[in-house]
Amino acid sequence: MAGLCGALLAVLALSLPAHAGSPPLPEKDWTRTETRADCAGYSALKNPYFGDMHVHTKYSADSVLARNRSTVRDAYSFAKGATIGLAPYDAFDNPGRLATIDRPLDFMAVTDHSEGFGEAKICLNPGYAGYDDPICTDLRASFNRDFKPTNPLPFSFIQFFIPLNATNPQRYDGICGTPGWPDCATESGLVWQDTQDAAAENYDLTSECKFTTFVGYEWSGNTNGNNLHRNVIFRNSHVPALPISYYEQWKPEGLWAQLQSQCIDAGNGCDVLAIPHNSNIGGGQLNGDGGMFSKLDSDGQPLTALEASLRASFEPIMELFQIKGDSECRDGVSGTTDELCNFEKLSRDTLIGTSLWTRKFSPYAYARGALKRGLDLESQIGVNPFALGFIGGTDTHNGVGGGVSEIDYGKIGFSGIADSEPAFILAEATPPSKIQSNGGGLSVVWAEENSRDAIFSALRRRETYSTSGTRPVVRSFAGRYPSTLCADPNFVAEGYDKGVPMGGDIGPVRGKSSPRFAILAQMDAGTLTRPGTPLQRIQVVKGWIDPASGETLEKVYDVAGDAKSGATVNEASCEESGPGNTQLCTVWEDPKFKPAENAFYYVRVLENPVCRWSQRLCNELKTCSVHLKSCSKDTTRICTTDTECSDYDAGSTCTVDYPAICTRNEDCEHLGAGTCGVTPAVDCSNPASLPPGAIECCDSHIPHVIQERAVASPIWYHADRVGITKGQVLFGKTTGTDKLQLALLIGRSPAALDPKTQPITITLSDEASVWSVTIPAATMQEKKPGAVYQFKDKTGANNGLTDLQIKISKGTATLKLKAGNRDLAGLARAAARISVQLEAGTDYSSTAVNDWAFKDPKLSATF
Amino acid sequence: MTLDSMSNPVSAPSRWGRFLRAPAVHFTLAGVLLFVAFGGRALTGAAATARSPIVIDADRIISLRRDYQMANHVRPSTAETRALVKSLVTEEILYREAIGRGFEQADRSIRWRVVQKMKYLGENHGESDDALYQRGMALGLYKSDPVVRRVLVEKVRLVVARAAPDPDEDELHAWYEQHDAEYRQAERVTLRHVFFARGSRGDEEARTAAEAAALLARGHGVEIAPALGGDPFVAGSTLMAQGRQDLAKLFGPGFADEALSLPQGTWSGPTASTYGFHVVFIEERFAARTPAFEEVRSRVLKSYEAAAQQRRVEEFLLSVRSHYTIRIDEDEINRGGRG
Repeated sequence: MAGLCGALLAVLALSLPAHAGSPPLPEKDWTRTETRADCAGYSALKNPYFGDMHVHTKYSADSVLARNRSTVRDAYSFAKGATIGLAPYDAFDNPGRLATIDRPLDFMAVTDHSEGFGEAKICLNPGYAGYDDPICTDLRASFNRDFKPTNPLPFSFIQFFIPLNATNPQRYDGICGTPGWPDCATESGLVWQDTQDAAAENYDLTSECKFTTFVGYEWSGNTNGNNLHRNVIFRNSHVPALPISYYEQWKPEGLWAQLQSQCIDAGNGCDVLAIPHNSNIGGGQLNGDGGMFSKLDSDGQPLTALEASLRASFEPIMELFQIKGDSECRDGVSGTTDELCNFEKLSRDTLIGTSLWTRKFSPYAYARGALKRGLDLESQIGVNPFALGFIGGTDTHNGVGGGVSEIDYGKIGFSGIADSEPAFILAEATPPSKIQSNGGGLSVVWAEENSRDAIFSALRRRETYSTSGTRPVVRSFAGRYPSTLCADPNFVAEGYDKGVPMGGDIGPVRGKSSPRFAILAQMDAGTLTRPGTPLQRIQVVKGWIDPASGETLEKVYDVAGDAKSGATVNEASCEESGPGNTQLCTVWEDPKFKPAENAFYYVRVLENPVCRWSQRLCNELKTCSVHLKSCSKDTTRICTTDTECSDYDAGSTCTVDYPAICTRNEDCEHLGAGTCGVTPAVDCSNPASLPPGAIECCDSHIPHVIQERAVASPIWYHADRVGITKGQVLFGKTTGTDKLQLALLIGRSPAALDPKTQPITITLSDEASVWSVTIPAATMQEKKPGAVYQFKDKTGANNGLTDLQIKISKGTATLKLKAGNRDLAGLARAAARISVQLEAGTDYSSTAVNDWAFKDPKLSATF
Repeated sequence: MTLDSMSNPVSAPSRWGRFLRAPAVHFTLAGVLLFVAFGGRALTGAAATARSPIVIDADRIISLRRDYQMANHVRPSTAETRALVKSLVTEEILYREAIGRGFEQADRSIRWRVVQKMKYLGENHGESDDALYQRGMALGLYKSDPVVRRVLVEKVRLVVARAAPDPDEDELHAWYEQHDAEYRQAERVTLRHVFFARGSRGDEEARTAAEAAALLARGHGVEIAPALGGDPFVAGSTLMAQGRQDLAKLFGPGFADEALSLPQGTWSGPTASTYGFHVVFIEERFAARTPAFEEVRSRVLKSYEAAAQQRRVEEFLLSVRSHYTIRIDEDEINRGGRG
């Protein structure tokens, strides 16, 4: 044994990689805006934190109307690991169901619908005259009466929410009081204050930094039925006196303007983001007019540069995934062929629209289309309004943020009694589409510590990814890495040092060659009882714009792992089998990289296939021992007497055998249907045998198997930034004889790069500027109009500059420069990080940073 | 002092300004003032017994059942019916206590309700709202009105819950000590690790390489780490102040338990994780601790207050309950539950 180890040791010692120490640590981009203890877990290389920025409690009208009683404090308790109760509640206030998160979250925001803060309390709680307003009375009564998820929504329910679909919406005088709806304002204030108090109480201010809360709310604009909802998230405890709801500002532009004046400009440290969600049901035309990522503003006018930058500053991220489906992409929409987009898709394109799988869906309802449109708009108006990073969330209306497991969702559901029973959650109904819904996703942020400032800043710089609920850990970087980075234990430090992380922006950092994408993914670590699922593969999704045609295009690359690994899952038992990866790593280059094309690249990490929640539930279904009766004209309506049927449909009788479905005895007992049987109830090969509540188990549109995934914020390649293709400093034998050569590239030449009208400045620096030259406007000779410019001066009178050539061809600019007889002793004779800055007039400035190698007497870099 | 005069605390010092402008504060303060003004104690003796008994007859029980069935689509059991009756009795007691204290006076919601009712009843003879209100109150329109009833019950609850002086420091300290588990911080370690991935090397090779590295590291300090090679780890090679939960998140549950028990200041392992094998150096260990009282004072205060509010309402109900004669139709309760 000793001999073997000795031999190994020798081999190991010989093969030890020569890592020249760790690179310097990145600097943090934020400062503290609150008084709190520093976090013991602080790491400059950042930690992954898992959270949910989209959680509703009983303060949301639609939640409390579904009999949900979870408070803001319950929601935070749940996220931290406590068990909480779920509706239905009995007369002793005991919950009919319990929920526990499988792993606590690191951070969470409660985001109740600000529009119903006052109204819901007034309608459902003692205190105001509005309680007896007919809308409130009907609402309570109709929601109580004969609840069935497949029933159309009660009219009063629709009436309650109707203003949220209106332009220039008005609150109800009868509920809110007159003049000026004072009662709703008072009650909203109480709810808002309590939301803030609960967030403060649950935020860990000690150095343990165990849990972070954010004060937030949901702006629930649903103009003309289009889901334009945004979660408004505040950085710290400084928030406006009342939420700015759809009633105050029904246009997103108005929301941003008010957030600007009431928060950003308040001068008290207030800072805020708005996070759009469910663009998948945001409506809009096929050409993308209207909807979440419209190229028009709320007045139907084309977006201006000003509006685009306002939007980009308030909305740098979107919620990609949640209970009401995936908004990443849709297979078959114009421009997208990607079968992996067939994942948690809805049959609707608006919140409460008609279910129609064969509908033509708009590409702009999905992130993929929005990102491409962003490139397009940037080329037209100069600003990209849709440079969006990704997070995931639940949108739970049960207060169970982070309760995302496929194993639990069939029992927990989305909202109170609306889906508290198997037959309810498996129904095809709206909203949300029960069988089409899922457990929701998580937000993962890479932040230095688990504090508000650190996480908020990570959201703002988009160093985030969305998961469909599982917890793979994913890093992605773009930069100038060696192709061997996956063998370097300093991967992460190198990632930051020589490039940018997910959410970042880069230029031609490797000259004409593609930037290198360094991607490292670890499978979900799982828990003792629920191990994580291995990774199947990593993909890079590229979107780009052809500068000649203006057309936006996309392509998906498999970059690590194996699509045909043979990993599979047994649909009947939900047992997984076949190979998978605990970890995947790759350094990838874009084989079709063109320095002139603006592009985005985002990483998608896929797990091995598993059963969808609905498949797990359907497998588990039994029927109750005592069969009930249902109505002849509506066989899903449970009855005991004929009148209960004829009241709804003339001539309908209570005569049809109704086997209720169940997974536990309670499901049967409360219906008076005996106990839960033992024989599986679902056999899709025999549709006639399906109990009425289980029909959707065999709907061909509902997948039985899914691949959970992480989708990381894109990295944008900016063709108008400068890169170097060659740099060389040749140190002379004597002082004053050093020579410099530079070849620079700008993928897409900016208008400002016009030597006829603009001075051109080139500056070389390491830690300080060591050489700089400015060529005044109109000094260069125009050899070919608008395309080739030259400057020659053998004397080198201008800082030693002897040759400068600027060539613009097919939109790409190349600069070649020679200078001689200089003293460049400011540069050390050693490998160094060199910055080359190019300025053209006052409108253009870009800097290329590269590591130059030293081989006496040359300091150089080449791409 | 009236509610209206409360809403303009012009002379309040500025740091109280925001606090005093919060609507919840108006409501509570107004209530506290009323509570104090009307004695701050239960109605006792003649005042209470002179009142009529609280009667929950068959009709009310049937209607309770009907409401419950509408909301929950099942008939309440006998036990559930009893619980419904109990909360109705509580509500009735709170309502009577509110009336006994004159809480119906100078309440904005009740005022509005009474005015609306007067108008609805056609009692509006061109009078001002003030006059309508005065006349409505004189007519007793607030009595047996469901909205007024709810307002008053809620108001008494809030007033009782919140009407207490700030807890003294001793009480808070005692609470903090009793609930020490709530504030307890878990054991944590700062660790450096060298990772050998089973993903890229295969399980056996990863283990062998890790064992070799562990041998090489033996006797060295943390500075040997770069010489040990290894593979990239997604969360990096130095992890600061990690508790069990943090470690489980990044390495898997098995590793978390093992890593916490490793000795400090020396290389250990290899330790297996979900992803491969790790040679681990514990740089610093933070024992589990309970933060000092001052570090968590605001949290202590809040949880103390939440519990105290609930307790105060219960104690209040207990103290006044004996002053009422309560008659409940037990036969009806026992009739026709679902089990």
